[in-house]
Amino acid sequence: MRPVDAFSLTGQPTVRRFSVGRSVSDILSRSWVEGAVPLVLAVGLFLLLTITTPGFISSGTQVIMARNIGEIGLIAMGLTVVMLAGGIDLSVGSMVGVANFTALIAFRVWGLTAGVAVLLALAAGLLMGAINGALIAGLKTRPFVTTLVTLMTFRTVVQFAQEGYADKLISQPQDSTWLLLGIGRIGILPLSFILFLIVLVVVQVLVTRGRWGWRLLAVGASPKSARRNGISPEWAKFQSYVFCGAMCGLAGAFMATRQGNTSSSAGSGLELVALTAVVLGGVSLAGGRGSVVRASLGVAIVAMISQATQLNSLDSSWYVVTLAIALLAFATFDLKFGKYRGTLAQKLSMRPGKANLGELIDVTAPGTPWTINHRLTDAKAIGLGEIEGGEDVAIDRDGNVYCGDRRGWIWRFEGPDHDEGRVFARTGGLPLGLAWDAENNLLCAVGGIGLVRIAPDGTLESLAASIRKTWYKVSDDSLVRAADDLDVAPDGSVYFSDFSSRNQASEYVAEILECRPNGRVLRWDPQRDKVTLAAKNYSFPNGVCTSHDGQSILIAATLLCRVDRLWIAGPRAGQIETVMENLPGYPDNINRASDGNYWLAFAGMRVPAYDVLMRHDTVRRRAFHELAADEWPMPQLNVSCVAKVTESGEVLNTLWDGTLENHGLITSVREHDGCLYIGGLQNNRIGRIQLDPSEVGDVDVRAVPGTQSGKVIARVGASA
Amino acid sequence: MNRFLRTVVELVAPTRISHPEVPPMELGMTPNDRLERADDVAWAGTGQVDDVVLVDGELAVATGNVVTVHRADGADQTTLPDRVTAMAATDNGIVVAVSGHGLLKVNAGRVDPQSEDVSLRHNVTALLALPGGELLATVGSSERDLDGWVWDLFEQKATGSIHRIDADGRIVQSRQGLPWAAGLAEGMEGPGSPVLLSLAHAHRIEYVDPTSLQSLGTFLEGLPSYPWRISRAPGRDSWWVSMPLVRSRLTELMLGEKAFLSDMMATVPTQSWYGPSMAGGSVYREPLQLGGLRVLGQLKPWAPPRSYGLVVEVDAFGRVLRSLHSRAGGTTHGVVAAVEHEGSLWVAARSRSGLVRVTLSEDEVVS
Repeated sequence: MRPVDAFSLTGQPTVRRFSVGRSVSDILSRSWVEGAVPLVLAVGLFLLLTITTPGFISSGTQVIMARNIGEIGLIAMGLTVVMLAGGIDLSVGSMVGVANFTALIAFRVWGLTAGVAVLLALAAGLLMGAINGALIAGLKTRPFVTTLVTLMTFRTVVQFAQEGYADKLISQPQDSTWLLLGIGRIGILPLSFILFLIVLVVVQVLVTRGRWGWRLLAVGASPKSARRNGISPEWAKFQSYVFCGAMCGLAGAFMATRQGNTSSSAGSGLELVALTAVVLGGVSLAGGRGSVVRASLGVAIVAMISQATQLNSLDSSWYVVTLAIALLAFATFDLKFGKYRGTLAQKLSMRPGKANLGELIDVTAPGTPWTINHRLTDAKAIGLGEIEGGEDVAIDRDGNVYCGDRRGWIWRFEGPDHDEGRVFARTGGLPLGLAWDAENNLLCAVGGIGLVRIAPDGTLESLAASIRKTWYKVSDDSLVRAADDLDVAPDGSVYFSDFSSRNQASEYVAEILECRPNGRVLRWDPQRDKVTLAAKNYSFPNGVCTSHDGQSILIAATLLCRVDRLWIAGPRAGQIETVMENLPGYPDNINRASDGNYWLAFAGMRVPAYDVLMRHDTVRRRAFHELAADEWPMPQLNVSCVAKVTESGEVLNTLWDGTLENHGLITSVREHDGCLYIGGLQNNRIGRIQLDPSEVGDVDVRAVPGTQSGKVIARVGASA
Repeated sequence: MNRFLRTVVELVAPTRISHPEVPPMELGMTPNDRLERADDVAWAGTGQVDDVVLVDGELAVATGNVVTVHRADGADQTTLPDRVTAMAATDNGIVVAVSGHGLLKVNAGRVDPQSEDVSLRHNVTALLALPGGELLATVGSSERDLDGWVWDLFEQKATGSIHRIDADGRIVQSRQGLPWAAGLAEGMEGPGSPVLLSLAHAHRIEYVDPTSLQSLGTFLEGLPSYPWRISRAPGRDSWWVSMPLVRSRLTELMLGEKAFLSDMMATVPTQSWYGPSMAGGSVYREPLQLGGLRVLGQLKPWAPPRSYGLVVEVDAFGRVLRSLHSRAGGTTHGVVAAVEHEGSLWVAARSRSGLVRVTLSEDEVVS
């Protein structure tokens, strides 16, 4: 059965289904948005250069760029790892220079084989990284100054080596391995680029999936909390510098085999290039945020800028200037974006909806079915002082009373006098709606958890906690955050309301203020143990009740002050029709009455001023953002009543506590054995009143409508 | 500023954007329940008191169209043609402002016209006798009557005024454009010295030159409440300021939402508006703020109040020496007048019928 779209119940134009602000907020809230900026930049730059620069997409250009990316990429990879751990390494250029010289000397002067030369360069990189790491992690020196010093130190080493070996470096022994490393390629991909890709994949997996990367990020984000969680920040930082050194060693070896550059300035200036690439890729300078894949996008951007400068025959200083400007702009952007992204997402997330409610019935006027009375004032109190907010009440066949509690408990008060109470089960969420299934289990809609089944011995079983995410929605709506009320259909499936797919159950007040159709009605199918959507885009669906004939379920849309019928069987299955609208209060739970009618409780009453506010969404948005929660405007939630309504939605009479002392707010009532049990979400008791015999019929309100077997099995279960 | 622009500016420079604020009640204004612990309700059931003043050491109380002077040996009642909105003691009798009639003089049961100027026929909120037979009178608003103060607050038109009236009842000096002028009291230094004028909807009390009626400076400003009548504390250099309403951040926010306000004012009965209230009406028709939610049968006293009871004593430097409160859920709300007499404070509260007497103690003064 396709889910019903209940948006039309709000009476608002289709355009109000969407909100630009909220969509932006949803996007900003996702973690992948950090990678979106460098990706857009890279693609945009590529298109721009393709159009403006002739020869940019020629295969020759691509080979040069791939080589460039391979070498810079390796360095950027190392730098990224260091920065993720909260450090910085300015000495990368000098380390590349030293590694370059090590490889050249080993190969040309000492006559070692190409493979050994490369390994020696790698070892030199490891050693230099270890020196950086030991200084920073061991002696706790500042990374910036330390690596600035080692930058100069390593460069001096290169200069000494250059002076000492200058004359011997001229010889160029022929070696196929050396040549292969330098200019060899597979297709258009140079070896260095392939190696870079391999390292990229390995490091990405290690950082995002492995313990090593997880620790690295923890240290980068907050060394103190990492330490308090048993991670050694020193060890993680040391490792990151050693890794960076190794990457520089490899890059140096490739540089040596490709260029054979014996100048002492080999590799200088690479720190600016690598740093720009990494920052463009969205790796945070503050540590703990970024990924190597994103950093490699930054490398691609830098390589493109470099290539474009050369193709346009511009002076190389243009390249440096462009990089410097890009670095400055992105460092600023990184700072502001990191700082304000969350705030902006939060600011934009609340886009209240509107509702136009009709003429308000004045409950203070005498002589209407709604007129305030005192029928509930003298209700016998059950669990007074023990219960804290029992939204719904349920009574088993033996007359024991069950109710929820805001501390997550389910109370049980022993019948018939209900003086003794004990905690029957602990749900861990906010237990709201209650209902009996055919096997005498107590089903509970638990806010923050979902649908829970409680066996007669008090053991809990979670039936439905999530549903498949709607594929086209940016925000994650897979969790059942706010299960509110439920009832069982003749086929054994459970229909339950989830009043918001955005706000938590405990944030129901924000949901009231927002008044957008965020809710839905879900169906749990016991045969397939699967949750499906029965109705979507529902505005605060609250009470759910299977009709007496079992053909439909009644759904109360609290904020729209209406009750609708969703047909679940028969010729109109899958359609929704109005039962009641323009109620003077906010309907909450609905339950069957023994005389074939229904009890409808209200979560609060409408007041004229709030009706006006429902039309002014901007005021509510301002109130949400600019005022403390205690100051938020609300409808009158301190008073309510319970109404008896017929199948067709006619109100027969209402029951009030006109003194507001004992049962000012009523969120649910349940009939049992000629008595009415009264629950209240903010109340400290359950009330019980005796009904007039003329109001009581012979319908078993506990049994699932349309089934007879329910009774029999329940009796077996009760005696067991 | 445009809403979108506001959001952007707030993100970049949060300190540049101001949100609705109300100064906190602190120091001398720290909330208590002094008004709830009133000794008794004096003359209960006599109807809502609009003003109370001391005349030759005796209490004169205005209730509806009746002025009652309570003497040791009984009470003198004078019935006037319409509702009495303000009173002042003069050298010979009491001057009363009567709705629709102007100023009348009541002396030993005799009623004489004092001034019938059209400006003084409606909504005279306070009177003060000056030496030499002259009178000062404040008018809350030229467009709204006394019970229309919340309209005046939301319309923000500032149509109140202060007038100087000579012994023959002619207005000789006026100053217009005041945001609900609601109280007057003599200053400290005797004849010719500045008088105090409370401007309720500007949350301010200022010094006024009694001759030119121009402002000489601010006595109290940035109050968390709307100051009304002021009375001199006998024997001390301090004043009692009645504050029938307190400000709330929601009200301050709504003052900037013109479209919403005009919609609400056009369609909702006044007593059911969002905004301050003198005395709670029908809970079934009144809006709520979340803090006012009753949880487990309890209403927290610090819930954002719709109506509130507050009287403060202020010294010559504008310091609040002590304050008497009745908080959310209390019964003595909407204090429109208070006068100290023989160690007790007599308080006229809108939520009650009659006067409330509170015995004062020197211990509670903030030093």
